[in-house]
Amino acid sequence: MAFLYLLLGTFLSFVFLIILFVPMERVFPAQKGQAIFRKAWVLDLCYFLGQYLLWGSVVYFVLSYFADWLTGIVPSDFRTMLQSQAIWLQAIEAIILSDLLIYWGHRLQHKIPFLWRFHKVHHSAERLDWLAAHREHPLDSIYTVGLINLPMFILGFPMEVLAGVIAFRGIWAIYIHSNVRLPIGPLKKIIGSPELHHWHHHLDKNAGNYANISPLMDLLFGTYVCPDHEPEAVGIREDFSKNYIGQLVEPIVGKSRWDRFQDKFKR
Amino acid sequence: MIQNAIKVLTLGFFISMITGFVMYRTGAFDSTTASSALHTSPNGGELNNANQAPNSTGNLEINQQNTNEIMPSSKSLAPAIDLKKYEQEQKKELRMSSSKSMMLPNEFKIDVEDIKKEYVSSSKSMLHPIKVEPTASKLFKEDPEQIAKLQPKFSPTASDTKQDITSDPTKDHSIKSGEKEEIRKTSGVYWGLVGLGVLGIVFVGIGIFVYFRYKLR
Repeated sequence: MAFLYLLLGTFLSFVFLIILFVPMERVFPAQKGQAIFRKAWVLDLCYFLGQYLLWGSVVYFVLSYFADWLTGIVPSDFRTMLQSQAIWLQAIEAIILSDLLIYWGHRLQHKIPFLWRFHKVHHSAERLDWLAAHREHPLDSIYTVGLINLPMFILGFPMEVLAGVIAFRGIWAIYIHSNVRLPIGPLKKIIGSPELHHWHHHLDKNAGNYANISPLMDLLFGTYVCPDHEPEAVGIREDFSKNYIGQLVEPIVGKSRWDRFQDKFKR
Repeated sequence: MIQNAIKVLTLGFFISMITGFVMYRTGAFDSTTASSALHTSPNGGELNNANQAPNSTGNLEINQQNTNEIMPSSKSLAPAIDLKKYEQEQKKELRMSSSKSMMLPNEFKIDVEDIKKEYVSSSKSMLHPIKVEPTASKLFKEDPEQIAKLQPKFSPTASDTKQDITSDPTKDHSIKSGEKEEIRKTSGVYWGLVGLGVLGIVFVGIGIFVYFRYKLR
């Protein structure tokens, strides 16, 4: 029964995202002529379904364990002191700390080869749209979701007060990947947009724009990039598996082992 | 002209949907919050994780559990036997012992003293009748000696004093933060929601203004 609800929730989320993003991608396209059912659409659909039906639960189970462990090591007096602050102050602290952590965490994903192995799954998309946003290795999800929630886990900020921010952040993360170009003028220095994030997906893996929701961290640390046109190509230069299972397994076992395994399987 | 109208309508629809979604997730259309208690992946994670979300305020939950143990929710001044609980326990016992009933026939014997010991849960609430019962506290103000006669002698322990019921329940750390939100919601105007609505309207306004300013010029 629970699985049926999960299935229904997944289906409704899928329909909602189609209704939300497809008209935008048709009316304000970044890449004109990009079809809805473009190359690797099925692969990204696998990621979408995998994330909603399977990996999402695994990620949150791991994070629950992690959160419990952190609760045990942080002195309760310290948490009580933080929680005695005004709610609005806690909300601001939580957002700034999350943004800072995810900025540097994301930058490290592009610098450290081990982290890049998993993060390159997300960057392997050669066509960007709302569905491609879901292309993410489960271990990469644990890393990013863990980092972004770390201040809340450690400091015990009440997440309920951030409900609006969390919901907005979730939907905006999908929007910035969509095939939309909608210049927002000076607001682009305050709020992230597809025109900025598409450059982050440029073939050059250190292209910049590591922040997601607000580019303030990029401006602060000098990684803000905003040319007045779309990048010629997005994706990665490395040779990487093109199927779902391969993209999940290869970062874990390594390219050479995965290639050997595939060779054996073919024989 | 038609193209521009389509663009404005699409943008308006998009902004309204996002505003609606955010308001829905903050519980604006329901009595309970539908919000996810976790930030999703910045790469575009799933939108709904409410059922599996870890609790970031774990220590508060522990306090809540302790509260249940220290002070039951019953405000009754008289000791009461929790018969339902006792019945359930007995049923469990019967089921468990069926295979070895021949060996342990005494298991079915009901020890009344044991019942009292285990199931007289509200006896603990007797420790704080003044704090819980408004009539008693009124009496206490008027005639403390009279109340002292009615009550058994008792000196509160350190842990008990922590469980005092404050005048403002939202400041009570033994209440889970989710429950605090409920208390806030029922105790007056929910300003957070009003603020969010205003923010939504401002956001829509800015979006349309920016669009007209930079795209349709």
